[in-house]
Order: sequence, then structure tokens, then C-alpha cells
Amino acid sequence: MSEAATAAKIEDPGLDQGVEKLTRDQIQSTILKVVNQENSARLRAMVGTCVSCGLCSEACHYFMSYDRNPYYAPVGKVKETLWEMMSRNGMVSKEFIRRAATTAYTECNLCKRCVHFCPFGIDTAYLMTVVRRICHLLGVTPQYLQDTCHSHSATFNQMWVKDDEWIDSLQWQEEEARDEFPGLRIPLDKEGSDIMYSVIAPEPKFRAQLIYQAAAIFQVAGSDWTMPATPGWDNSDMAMFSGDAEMMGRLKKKHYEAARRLRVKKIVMGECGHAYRSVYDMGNRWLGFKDMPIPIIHAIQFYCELLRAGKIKVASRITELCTFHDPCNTVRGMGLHEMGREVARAFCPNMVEMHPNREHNYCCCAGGGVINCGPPHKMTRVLGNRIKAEQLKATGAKIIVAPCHNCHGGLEDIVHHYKLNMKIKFLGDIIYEHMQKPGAVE
Amino acid sequence: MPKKLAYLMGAIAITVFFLAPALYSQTDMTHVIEDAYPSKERPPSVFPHDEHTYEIAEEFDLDGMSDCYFCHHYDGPDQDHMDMSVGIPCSDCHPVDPVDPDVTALTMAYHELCKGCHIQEKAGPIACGECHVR
Amino acid sequence: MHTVYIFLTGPMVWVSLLILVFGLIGKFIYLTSMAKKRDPWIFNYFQFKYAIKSILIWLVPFATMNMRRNPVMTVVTFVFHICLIIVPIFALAHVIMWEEAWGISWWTLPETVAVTMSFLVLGGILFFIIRRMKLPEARYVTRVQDYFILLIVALPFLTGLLAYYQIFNYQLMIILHVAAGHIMLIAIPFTWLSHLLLFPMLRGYVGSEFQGVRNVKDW
Repeated sequence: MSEAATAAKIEDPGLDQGVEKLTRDQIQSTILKVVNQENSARLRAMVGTCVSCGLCSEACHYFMSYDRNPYYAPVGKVKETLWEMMSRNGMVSKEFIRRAATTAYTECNLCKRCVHFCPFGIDTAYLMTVVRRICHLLGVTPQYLQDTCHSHSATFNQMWVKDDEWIDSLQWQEEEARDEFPGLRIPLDKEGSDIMYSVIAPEPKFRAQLIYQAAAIFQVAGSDWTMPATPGWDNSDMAMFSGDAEMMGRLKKKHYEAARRLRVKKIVMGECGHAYRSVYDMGNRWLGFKDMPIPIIHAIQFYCELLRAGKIKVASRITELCTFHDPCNTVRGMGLHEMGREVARAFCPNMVEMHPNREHNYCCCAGGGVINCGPPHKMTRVLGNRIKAEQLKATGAKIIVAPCHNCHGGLEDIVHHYKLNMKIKFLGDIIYEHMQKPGAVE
Repeated sequence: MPKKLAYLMGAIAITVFFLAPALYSQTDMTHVIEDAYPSKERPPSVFPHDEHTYEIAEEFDLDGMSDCYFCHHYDGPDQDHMDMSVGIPCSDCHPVDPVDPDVTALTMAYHELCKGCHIQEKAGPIACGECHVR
Repeated sequence: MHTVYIFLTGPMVWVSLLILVFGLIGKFIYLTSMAKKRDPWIFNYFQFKYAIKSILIWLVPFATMNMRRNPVMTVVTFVFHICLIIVPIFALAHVIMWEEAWGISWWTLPETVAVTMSFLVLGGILFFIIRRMKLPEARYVTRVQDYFILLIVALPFLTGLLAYYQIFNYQLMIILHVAAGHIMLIAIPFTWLSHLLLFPMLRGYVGSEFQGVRNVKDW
């Protein structure tokens, strides 16, 4: 038995107090509403087609890490949640909802790896999103995750960043960067720019260095860019993960509208996976856009274009052995695995692949809102991703390149817990450090 | 003496009466013997010939040899029943794999004849293994 | 016996086939119209070439990563499904019955091959049953109805073989065989056996979604 198998029940006020208030009628009517009215053929087809063969099991890092406990297999999670809810016509207990919420919020990262394993292409991530929707409507959501959603509702960003704090942070980073690049600006609200750069709220909150680095790259590349001074600057979307689809729609609308107001040609997003998912996959559809209403590209695409166009050039290379982690949202979401490798290889010639990789890569176990469920659930995900630690260890690499914030968070915890002694870098970190910097003061 | 003669005549009459059917019967035939098939997928069909001739004679009360025409038909459904195919192998007219699409293939000819009658009469075997007994 | 057999091989065939065909058509219409109403974007994203590609790739043995990871399961699954579909369509006795009824005929399997394939179907089902009982992740999610559905699929082949070899009471066995066949056909639209239809539908959707929108393969 590994340490994973001994995990105890986790207390979470959001879940525990959330279920206290529930009545049976409320549970039933909510489940029926979500299952019968909000969702449609896709849900029925996927639940009705499953032959319960269990072939999806090994797709899930929780299953692999928790000693192949079938409870954590994708189909096992569906059995514990939707099968019961649907076959009992919504007549389930409070305790059932409590357990279902734990499963859907903290034991599934919605990474869609299992879609690649299922012969029918049953999307367990989607099914877990349906469960989360039910839990959200019932008011049973993990406290930390719900806090970020409240922040989204109140401020349109995830981290309670006030409007003036946002501008302050940008100006602070601009000031810092001007020591290195004397002419550098972080243009605020510059209408008619080519690019609107959007980030997730944790960047100004506690990873402001990333904004500095991005500004430096824009400066070197000579891009015509801007960042919005008003709400809409945060592209993150925890509401999408909590099941608050209405708020998800409002957030994306605000984001697209900020870009329209600034009349930019496209939006470039920072190295964030879930935010990308919310603009190309979920938010746009909720709002009725087939594609993104304005071209939006992920930092991986942007950096790759800059490299290919020769706008940034390699000055030095990393000699240590590197490996590349494919974030679910950029790979299974947009197929950016080759672009990501192209950028990484330019600076890290000494690359080794982890196995499996690309669209079959193991999840970081932080995304899907799982890391946002906060400290109470930290060990669930750290112990739930032993398989990732083994996968990383097998590469023998010293540096993990991971172009996603959530992946960083998750991988850092894993590297620390399993004592892997590896560094984790964004593409931005590497480019900033190793590109040619004309006009920079040494 | 005339009494003795009468007995003798009676005996002969009885013998002839009982032997007569033997003239046109196949007493030893228990299965359809068909050599036309290049290979046999199923065992030959059970077919006690004489049970059928008695059955037909009783049921339809046809005269003498014209009973045979019921199965041993010749040149289509000839109502006069003057010509019969007694003694001619079925496969002479019904090849296993006929070139002419209007000609009934051998298997179908057997099946239509046997099964068709059994269904109509609500008697006799109709499922595959009931005739093709292993 | 006569009447039962004639009914089962006559009018009942119409009943079963109509239930099967209209059940599947109904399911298709129900799902597509429901999707049109609530998830209309599925049709906006649907692309025929990606749908076909996804379906074809998942129909080729060992073409996908998960098939290569589970070679035994892959071989058994493919052999099982191929035999399951081929035997009823091309079995000699079945074709003869079509010919007797409608005068249409087609190529038939040699009897020994059909028998072997039927044994393979039963072997496949035995494998699935044992796998469901022994493999923890499969056992955990297996419901009673899953075994029941496997039984529904097994029975026509089991009774078919017993009837072929004329073991036990032939007349009873042949009636059971025909009845079991009807039960299987009728069960298809109402159980997960409907993956006959839903496999291409779901793969079409997933293929379009992944290859078309997400720019990544789905196998």
C-alpha cells in the first residue's frame, strides 16, 4: 500500500456546510433540471453507450497513483456520480452529493486524457463538468474554489485584485523593466494596438515577474501591444470549473469586449492552459460564438511565431537536460505540442521526451480547478499524481518546461513531495533569460 | 374342388392386393439420396418414401400411379399428370447451380416441395435439423 | 411446435427487424433533434472527413494507442465483433431461409467456418465475463445488466450450436435459438448494444471536435 491509499476524509466548509442546507426535493429538482434540460443528446449518448469495459482506467493519473483503485477510474467516477443520479432519477442523499462534489472537484482534472482511451470517445471530463454544474447549483462547492468565483463575480478577476492595484502592478513592473530596457513601456489601454496581452490574476498578485518578462519579450520583438486598464484583463475562469456557467459567460464577454474596445487585431494570452480552454472551448460556446469572436492565440503560438519570424533570436542555450510537459489544454485542447517543442528546442538543445507524451501526456493534476480547491485538498492531488513523478524521474531531466500556470503549481508540489530535484520553467522564463536583448542595459 | 380353387384365387387376390403397391414403392428408401452435390454441408435429409406414398394416396385418393405425380412432377404443373419424373433424378431438371434463373435450384426444389407441403399440411418436419438429422 | 416455429421464423422476423431498424432510426432522430435544440454547435463543428477518419481508425486493430496497450483485449474484441456480425448474416441455414422467404440469396460461410466463428463468439463472451469478474476496474463498474446483456448475445450462438449439433431436444433447441435471436435484435436499440449506432455517432462528434476544433488526433 502506498501512502496514497490511506488518505482520510477531507473537511471543506464549502462542501460540508453546503450540503447541510440541502433538501431531497432540491437535490432531485436540480439534478433533473441539469440532466434533462440543460444537457442533451451528448450526455445521454455518452452515459447510455458506456459498456463499462474499464479501458479508460489507465488514462487517469489518480487511478494509476492510487494503486489502481477502481474508484478513481474515469468510469468509476461516473458510476459514483452521474450513473447513480440518473438511474435514481435524482433521488440521492446529501452524503451522496458531498461525495460526488469531492469526486468531481478534487479527483478529476477534466484533462480529457481518457477521451483518447475510450473506444467510443466518451468524454468523462464533460460528464464531470455536468456533475460540477449540479453541485454548483446546489451550492456545494469547495470553499477556496468558490472564493475565486466570488472574486470573479465581484471584480472580474480571480484574485480580488482592485482596479487600481492592477494598474499599480503593471506600472511597478514597467518601472522595474525600464532598469533593463530604458525605453520599455507597458502600454495601458492603447487603442488600435495590434495585440492585447491578457494574463491571469495570479500574475499581478504574486507572479509579477512574469509580466516583466512578457514586457521584455514584447519590447525585443518590437510588438505593438497593450494591456487593458479596466476589468476584462484577466483571462482566467474559475467559474468555468465550479459549474457557474453564467459567470463564465460574463467573464469571457468582458474579456472579448475589452479587446473590442481597444480595437486590437488579436489577443495574446499568457502561458495559461485553463484560460485558453475558456476562450476557445467553453466560454465562446456559452456566448454563442462558434470560434473565438476575435483571434486569440496562446503564448506558445505567439512565441513560436516570433521565433519563426526572427523577431526574437537565441543568444544562449540551456545545456542541462530538459523535458517538455504538455499541458492538457494546449495539447488536447489545441494541438500546440509541436509548436511548444519548437520553441523549447530552440533554447534547450538537450531535450528528452517524457513518456507518454504529446496528446497522451499525463496530467499535472493541478488543472481543472483542482489546485484552486486549496490547501485542504492539496494532498489528494499530490498523492494522486505519483505516476507523474515517476514519469518525470524516468527522464533524468533537470528542467521541466511547462507552458501553463496550473501545471507549474501542480508540478512544483510533485517535484517537492517526491524529491525530484527538478526546476520548472515557463517558455517565457527561458526566452527572457536566453534571447538576444538589443537595447538592454547590462 | 371349386371351393379349393376359390381359396386359391382368394389367396392370390389378397397377395396381389398387398403386393401391388410394392410395384411402385421404394420400400428400402429412408433418406434422400442425392449425388448431384459436389460437397455436402448437411447430412442427407430423412425421407421414408413409402410413408409418404401411403399418406398421399389416402389423403388425396388419387388413382394409382398418378399419385406419384404429386412429387415426381414433370415439365411444370401438367394437369393431366400423364408424364411423370419417376426414375429421373431430380437434379436432371434442377441443377445445384442453375444457369437459367427461372429454373429452381436443387436445394430450393427439395425445400419447397418438402417444407412447402409440411407447412401447408401442418404436419411433418420444417426446421433444418428435423430433416437433416445427424 | 409447428405453429410456434412458423410464427417465429415468419411474422416475428418482421417484428424484430422493424423494432431494430425503427428503434435505431428513432434513437438517431431523438438524439440528433435533441442535440439540435440544446447543443446546436455540435452540428456547426461536425465535419464529415474527421468523423469518417475517427470511425475508420477506431475500426482498425492496433491503430490506436489504447489498443496497442491492451493487445489481448484488442484481439478478442475484434475477433468477437467480426464473428458476431458475420455469422448471422452469412450462415448457410439463415441464407437458405431468406431465399425460401424472399428468393434472395447471397454468399454463405462453409458450415465448419460458421461453427468455428460461433465458438469464437462464445469464447469472446466468456473472456468478457471472466475479465469483468477478475479485473478490479471492470468489476467495480459492472452492473447486473451488463452480464445480462452478454447473456442475451451469447444465447443465440449457444443455442445455434446446440441445434447445429442436435444436442438435447432439437425441436426445442431450434425454437430457443430463433427466440434468442429475436431477443438480441430487439434488445439492441434499448441497451448499450445500441453502440452499433452510437459508436459511429459519438466518434463522429469526438472526431470532429478533436481533429477539427482542437487540432489534435483523437486516438
